[in-house]
Amino acid sequence: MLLLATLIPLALAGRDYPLFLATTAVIHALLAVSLDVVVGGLGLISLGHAALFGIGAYLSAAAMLGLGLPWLLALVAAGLGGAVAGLVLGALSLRIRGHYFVLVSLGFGEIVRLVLLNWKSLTRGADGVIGIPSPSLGGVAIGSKLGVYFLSLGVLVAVIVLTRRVRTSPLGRAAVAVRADEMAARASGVSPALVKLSALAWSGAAAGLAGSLYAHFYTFISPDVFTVDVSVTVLVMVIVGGAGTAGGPLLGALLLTVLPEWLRPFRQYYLIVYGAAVVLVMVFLPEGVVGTLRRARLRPRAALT
Amino acid sequence: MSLLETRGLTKRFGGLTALDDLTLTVQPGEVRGLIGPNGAGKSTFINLVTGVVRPSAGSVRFRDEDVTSWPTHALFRRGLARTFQTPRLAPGLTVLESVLVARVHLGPLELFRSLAGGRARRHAERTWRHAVRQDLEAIGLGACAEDPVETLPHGQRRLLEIARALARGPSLVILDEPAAGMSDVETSRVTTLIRSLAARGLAVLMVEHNMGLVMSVADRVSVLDFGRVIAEGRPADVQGDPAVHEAYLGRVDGGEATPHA
Amino acid sequence: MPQLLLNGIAIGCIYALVSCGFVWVYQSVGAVNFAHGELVMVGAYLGVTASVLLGWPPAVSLVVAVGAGALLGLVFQRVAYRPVRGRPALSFIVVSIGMSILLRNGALAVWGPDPVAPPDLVGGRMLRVGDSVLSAHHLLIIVVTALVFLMQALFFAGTRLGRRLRATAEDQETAQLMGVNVRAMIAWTFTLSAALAALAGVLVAPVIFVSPDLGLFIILKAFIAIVIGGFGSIAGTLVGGVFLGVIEVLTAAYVSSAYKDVVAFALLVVVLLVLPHGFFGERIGERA
Repeated sequence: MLLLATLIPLALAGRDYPLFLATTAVIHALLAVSLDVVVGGLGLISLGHAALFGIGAYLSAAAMLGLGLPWLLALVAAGLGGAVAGLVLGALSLRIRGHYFVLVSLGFGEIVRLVLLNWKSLTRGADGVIGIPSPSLGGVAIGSKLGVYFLSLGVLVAVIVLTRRVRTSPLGRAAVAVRADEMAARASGVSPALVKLSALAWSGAAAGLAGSLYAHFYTFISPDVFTVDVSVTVLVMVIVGGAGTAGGPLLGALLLTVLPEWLRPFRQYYLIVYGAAVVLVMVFLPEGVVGTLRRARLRPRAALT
Repeated sequence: MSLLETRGLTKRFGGLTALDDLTLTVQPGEVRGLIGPNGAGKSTFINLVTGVVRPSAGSVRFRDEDVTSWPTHALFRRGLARTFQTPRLAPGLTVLESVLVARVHLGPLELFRSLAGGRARRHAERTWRHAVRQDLEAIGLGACAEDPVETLPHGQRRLLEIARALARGPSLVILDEPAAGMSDVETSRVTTLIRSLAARGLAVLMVEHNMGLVMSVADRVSVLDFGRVIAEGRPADVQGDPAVHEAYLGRVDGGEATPHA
Repeated sequence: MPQLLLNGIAIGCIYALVSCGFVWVYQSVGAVNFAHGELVMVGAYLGVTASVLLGWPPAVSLVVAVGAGALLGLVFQRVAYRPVRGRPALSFIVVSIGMSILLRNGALAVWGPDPVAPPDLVGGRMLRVGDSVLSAHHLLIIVVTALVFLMQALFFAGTRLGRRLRATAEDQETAQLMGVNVRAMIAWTFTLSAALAALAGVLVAPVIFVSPDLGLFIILKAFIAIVIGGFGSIAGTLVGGVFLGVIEVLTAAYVSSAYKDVVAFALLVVVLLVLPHGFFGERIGERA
């Protein structure tokens, strides 16, 4: 919540480049938050998130370009499409033991990317979709960078609030139970299938929304945008920031949007350091930055019990 | 009509037959004991009856329905609850929340309901919490309702598990070694608890290898060995049965048989 | 047609080799090594470097690459597995993802992004079999694979080290109680797995383009092979791999080369939904 407050002053900088970066960071944050529903909430590592993102993007673009729908409806379509894709991924997750889900989700991501690439009549394949209109509210197009930034921020905040609402609901409690001990959860009347499918549907819906924001912000999408690398990057954002924490995915998104830009001149070395950093973080800070901070704060209290 | 009935229940793992043609009934409101030395097949029995594992042959009927292929959570909703040998609680939840999980039914469209929120939901949540708090008071866990489950000592963890099992007012509770690792004082508390459950009209199926506890509380006892029922009847009758002695004392590991006079 | 089938079987054998090493680690350690594909990729690059850049004869390059791969495996388990040994399997998966990023970008830095198509190990020789002319390299792949699978069956059943490795894979605690040095066994498992991966890499290099992205591609295919053949079954990976390889090649030839990957993944989804235990393996899905 404190992090949100710091995001708003950023908006006051009227310069183009920082705003561009900020909007990208917001979209990344949305992706990280949506992935954390599954990683932090269920303890499932998914590498197919880019597919959910991409489906949302293409659906939104198709809705506005192909069907002439207003942006809000396109956004909704993207969310629904993402949710359905999430359900499919969820159904696959039910069929497989947790560890292997990583690979299944990877496969899912690749299938979607390949379909987007090869179904040329629907998606224009590798050429991508250009000229995607800017978002519009009530018929008024929001062309300004500042406007798009606030719009994205609005969606992010809404998703964070809703996610929190689910986390504190009976479904959220059931998810904690399933994550901790599936058998015990079953013995408490919880259907792990329902919990997993719900989590993945919501994760997909939020990722789909991010896809819509991306498509109308960048105005160009192609299957190359929604690759495994994106899925991995979003996962790293969640892990480094701290899975399951409120601010972790946000911090991770911020770090991993801003750092690559600053370190661009040293790109090759950055990438290697990046890989090493993931290993090091997982070894020494398994709960991510925010998670470790939180634990450090709680430790004095634990000494009293 | 029996509350729970297994017919010809059999389970084979690879070359081993863990349960062999087991037929057992539990009547409504009775306290039923199932005892046997280690490896007799007690855990397998529980897993089969609670939908964790599918039988190789045979069927399970509960409340006059064939529930052989039902999953655990569906059985729980129908009124068949169980506890575990070692209490399995979810870290990250408080005592109150653990019972809430069992109490609140999640429908298929639960996600939408959670997202929508609303006043009715908040009111329902308050009602549930109040009801669960009362249940916790009744069982003696009222004081630690808001504590995280990780902080509970062993005896209370077991109580919590039982509270969780009772959350939806089941008709049958299967207790898996309820007195394991407990002191005499705690064991007698469990005995009292079981008697009070029976007084409430609940059927209890105790699976134990501590003979003493079962004998003092059960209405009927079945003795299991090598996957088969070798004796069945009232505790006094079973205690005197030579086959039972043979099973417990004639084995190399002996189990933990301490029949009380 | 015979060359086509040969191609399919050969590529399927590669998938089987990669899957085999992958399953060894999974059975031993209980977690997915996401960087396994990168080990194949590095092996491929090392083989190419040795034979093309350094001009060494193919046999020497092979041995060097496999040896280096083994060494890499040893280092890998020390750096990536040991530190997170006690923790839930999630940790190792994430660490292995980090290692995969590290290796992929390391390869990018060292060898550049452009795909490399090295010459094959037998100098492009073709053999005449009946009416057809078949590529010797593909035959070599099949022969090597058969040898590997045979040897590993003998190794695990017949030698002391092999039996100890199996015991560790089945039940670490019991093995430890029986005096097996579990840590050493795990180190061995990773080392052997990486060596096998490197071997697969060197063999596959002339057949597919070698690029830093080879790892991701191959681990996915290997996974599909495992799913088709059935988890927990080494023999299954051979069947699954060959089946996948042949289907891919036939799709590429008769439908379209663009669709061969789509078909492979579609196969994954279908098998998962319809036949979760593959042809041979244990059920990997939820029980009852």
